[in-house]
Amino acid sequence: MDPKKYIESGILDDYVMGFVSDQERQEVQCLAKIYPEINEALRQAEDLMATWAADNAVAPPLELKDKILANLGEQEAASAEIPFSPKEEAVVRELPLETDRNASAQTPFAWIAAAAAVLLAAYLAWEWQSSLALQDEMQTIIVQQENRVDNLESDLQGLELSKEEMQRSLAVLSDPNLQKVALNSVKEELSAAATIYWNPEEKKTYFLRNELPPEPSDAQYQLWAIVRGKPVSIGLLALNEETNLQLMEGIDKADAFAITLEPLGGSENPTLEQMVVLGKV
Amino acid sequence: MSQRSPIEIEIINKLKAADQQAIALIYDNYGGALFGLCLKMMGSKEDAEEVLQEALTKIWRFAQSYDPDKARLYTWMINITRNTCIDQIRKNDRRPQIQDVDSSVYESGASVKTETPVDHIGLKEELAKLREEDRKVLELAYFYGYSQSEIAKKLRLPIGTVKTRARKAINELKTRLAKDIGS
Repeated sequence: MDPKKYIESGILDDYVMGFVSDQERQEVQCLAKIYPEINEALRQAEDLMATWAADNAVAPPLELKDKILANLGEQEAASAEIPFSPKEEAVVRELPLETDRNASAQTPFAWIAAAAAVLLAAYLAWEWQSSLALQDEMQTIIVQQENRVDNLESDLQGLELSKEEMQRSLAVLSDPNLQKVALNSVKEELSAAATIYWNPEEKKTYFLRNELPPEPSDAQYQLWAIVRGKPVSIGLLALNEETNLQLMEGIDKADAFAITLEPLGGSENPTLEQMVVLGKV
Repeated sequence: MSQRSPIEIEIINKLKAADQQAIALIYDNYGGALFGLCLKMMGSKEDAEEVLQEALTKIWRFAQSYDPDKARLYTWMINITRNTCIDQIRKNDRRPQIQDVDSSVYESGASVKTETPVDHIGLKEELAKLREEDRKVLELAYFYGYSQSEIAKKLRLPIGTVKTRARKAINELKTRLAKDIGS
């Protein structure tokens, strides 16, 4: 709280003009009690307006003075006899704002209450601000959680698909007439392996990519069956597929199987120097 | 804080002592200013006299609640008088139409004008220099107790403009009157 800034805000001028809400009025009164600078500025503002208000003095009739003084005597007598008469109360209720303010200023309770009201208002404002910040924070966390749930859902879908594939593979591999042919690396320095599951009677050939180096972007693995010394293409391997069992073209006779790395789309004849794995039946 | 004149001190002491002489002194020394305000606000001499009587009675009744450290005696009395006028105007439901403000505020009672007991001679001339439209807003608020939104509605102005004009008028008063009220 900077009293100087408060004064500069012009609220004291609004106050003397009556352009303030009840809450602002209490605030001004309370702060004037706390800060001497505000009190002084408020006094000056009120003095200024009073000076301006009565700029045009007009002498009141002389006889009115006697009338008023005579009336005061009656008032005094009346209030001395019945100090808490209804008449007295009625006058108190009629009091203008300004006088109420002066009267209430005398009771410490009134200004303690006003101070409490201001403190409460400030506290509520602070509370409200923090709840806004908290709300933002909660919103961020909720969004994060939602994203996490989305990710988990897609992970789960992926797992479901893998499971189905595994089950299909298992069903395929449980065929008792299936021969297993292990294909091993033809180059000592290269670690590579693959497996062919083959049912010659039903002309079914499955390929399992155990471990093959990743293909360059312009090349693709091609599977060959070696029949009586001659390579016969039985299909291109799906790019970068690692675990899935892939159904290749069927063949009823083969002495061996081999995989070469060929340009994308495959070749009619294998590029022998690009052979990666080979396995004899 | 402004210096208190000897008469002000005497009045305060008498008020605190519940001496009726205080009201007589107020009448003699500040009666002109208070009555001028009543005339300005009430418009008729009869109403002004009635309200002045009521205001002085209130000053007497509430003398014990007056705190010299909180407000200048003059300001305190002006405020009581002004609020008594506003109450009366409201009671009679005789708040002027906007177009009446100038005549009722500045012309009524001019014929019975006498010399001023307070130190602001030449104020009227200063006041006349205030911009008409700014002054009007200030008068409606201060003399007639109109709220900001009532003034906005009556003058067909945005609420913000009402406040701006009033503040402008006050700032103008500040620069022109600062030397008179002392601080």
